[in-house]
Order: sequence, then C-alpha cells, then structure tokens
Amino acid sequence: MHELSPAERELTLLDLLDRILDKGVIIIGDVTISVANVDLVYLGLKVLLTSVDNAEKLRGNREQGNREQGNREQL
Amino acid sequence: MSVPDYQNDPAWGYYVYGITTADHKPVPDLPGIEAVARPFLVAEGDLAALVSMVPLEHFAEEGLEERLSDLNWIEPRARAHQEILAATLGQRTVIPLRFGTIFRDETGIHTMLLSHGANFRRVLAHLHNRLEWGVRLYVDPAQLAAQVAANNPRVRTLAARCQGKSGGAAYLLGKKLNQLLSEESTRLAETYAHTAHQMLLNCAVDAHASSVEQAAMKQEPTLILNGAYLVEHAQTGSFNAILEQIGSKLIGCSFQLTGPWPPYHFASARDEDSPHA
Repeated sequence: MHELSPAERELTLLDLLDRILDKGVIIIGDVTISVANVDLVYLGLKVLLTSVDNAEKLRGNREQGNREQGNREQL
Repeated sequence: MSVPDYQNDPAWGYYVYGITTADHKPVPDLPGIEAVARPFLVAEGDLAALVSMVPLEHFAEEGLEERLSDLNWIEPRARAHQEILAATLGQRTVIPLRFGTIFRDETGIHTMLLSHGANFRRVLAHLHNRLEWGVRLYVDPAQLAAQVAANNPRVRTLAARCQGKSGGAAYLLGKKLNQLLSEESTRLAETYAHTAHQMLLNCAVDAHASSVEQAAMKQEPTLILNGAYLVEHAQTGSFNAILEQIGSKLIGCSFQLTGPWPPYHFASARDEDSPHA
C-alpha cells in the first residue's frame, strides 16, 4: 500500500462538516441538536466556508456569462 | 491524580461519538469534545457507546444556534468528534453518530443501546474490517475538449467540413462545431464519471456517489464525481491502484482521495435490509 501525501490526507473543514453534520446515525438523545437546526446551521456553514473560496470564481463566471450574453445579443 | 467526578455532576452529560462492541480493547486516549474529559465506553450487553463527558450548558437550546454557526466554537468540537472516531479505526468497528447526541445519565444510554440493539449489530457486521474513503474526480475542460477534438468521430467529421470554407459558411459551421464540441465534452465527462465509479466499485463493498451535473464546463478543473466508498481493509492497496489507473487512463482527469474516514456514509442500515424498528 502506498503512503498518501500529507496534502492528500489533509481533512478540509468542509469535508469534515459534510460528514459529521450531514451523515452519521441520528439517535435521539436527551439533548439532541435537532435535525432542522443542524440543516440550517450546516447550510450556513457551507455557504460561509465556500464563500471566500468561490466569491472570486463566481464573480469571474458571472462576468464571463455577461460578456457571452452581450456577444449573443450583438449577433 | 484526582479527576473531577463529571459522571456524578448533574451539570455534565454524556456526549456519544459512536456505537461499538463491548470489549476490553483500549479506547483513544485523546482529549474529548470537552478537552478535560477523556473518552470511555458505556456497555450494555455486547454493545457499547463511546462517550465523553460534556457540560450540558454548552449544548443547551438557548444560544445553541449562535454557537453552532460560530466556526470558532464548532471547529474544535467537530475536529474532536472526528479525531476520537478516527483514532479507533483499525482497532475496533464503530458506527459514527451525528454530531451533538448527548444523554443526561447512563440510564438513557443503556435504554438506547437496548432499543436499537438489533440494528446496531447488523450495521456493525456490515462495517467490520472496512474503511470509508472519499474520492473526488475532476476534469480539466481544456484537456477534455482536446480529447474530444482528437477522437470523437462526429467532431472530426464536422471539423473536416469546416476546412476550406470561408465567409458565412465557415462562421456557421464554426458555431456548430463549438456547440458539438461542448456537448460531446459534457458527454465524455459523464462517461468518465460513470467509468471511474464502476472501476472503484470493483474494489468497494458499498458506495454513496453523486455525479455532479455539468451545466457548463468551467475553465478550471470541474468536479464530476463525489463519492464515498466502503472498502475492505485488505483491499486498500487495490483501491489505490484503481485510482492511479483512473488518473492515467481517463485523460484530463485528476482525483482527490481523502480518508480513511470513520464510516459516516455507511452508518445507517440500508432501507432494503432494515425491518424498521
């Protein structure tokens, strides 16, 4: 078995939250973070975590999209 | 060394990481969700809950949503949840629980283990000696388009027709060619995702994969498959070898492997074999 590089092994926080907040068995304990709560929080965190990374990309794509739209209208 | 008796403190409760078999194997000697409290087992018959003590007020309904939304609050706790479970990998089989399952006293845990016992045993048997791996598959749109241009018969035929044309005819054919190139690239990406998934299934006993919709190929590497694979311990080498094959056979593809993970994606019994308690 070959060893994975540290980069490959590194767990991103998003990967982690994807699993521990969205997967795993739901057991009703005495204190359980309700599914609705977690869903909202999970989505919020996802947006928060991806926003920094993707803000640039999204902006880039939108501008590109607008340019394409503009070109099409000219034709 | 005197350790405060959190188990007899009504302000503290039992945070459950996962369900395992009751035995005398060691549990991870790591800081728990609340760093001062180490994990231990609460056993009921042949089953046990992997737990550590937490102050109940941290998980009280009041202010919980704010705390959960605060990365500074949730990140160390999420990591502790993960690290405790990950430290058990290879030593014992554990069914990971979702973050934030807490019991006020031991009685609640015994009741939970008794009432879900049959289901837990079935899932533990399914997970025995198996690990979860995360695989993300990406394509580089430029390399993919180059593959299509070189190998796709429809694209090549149309490209040949464009040769020697000029003016309006060349313009219209060029537009058609770009359209076809984009359609065939998307189709090739889907084929890649499907092929890679089938190849990985040869070495996996279970999988949760989602192929990602390709509305438009973007400039940077585009995610085309996001999967979790449950793999026999002994098959780890073969699974890695298949990934290397995917990387070299599917030109323009790259992958990212994460894990081994506690089997979060495979913690619930599949519907077909769950008689529903």
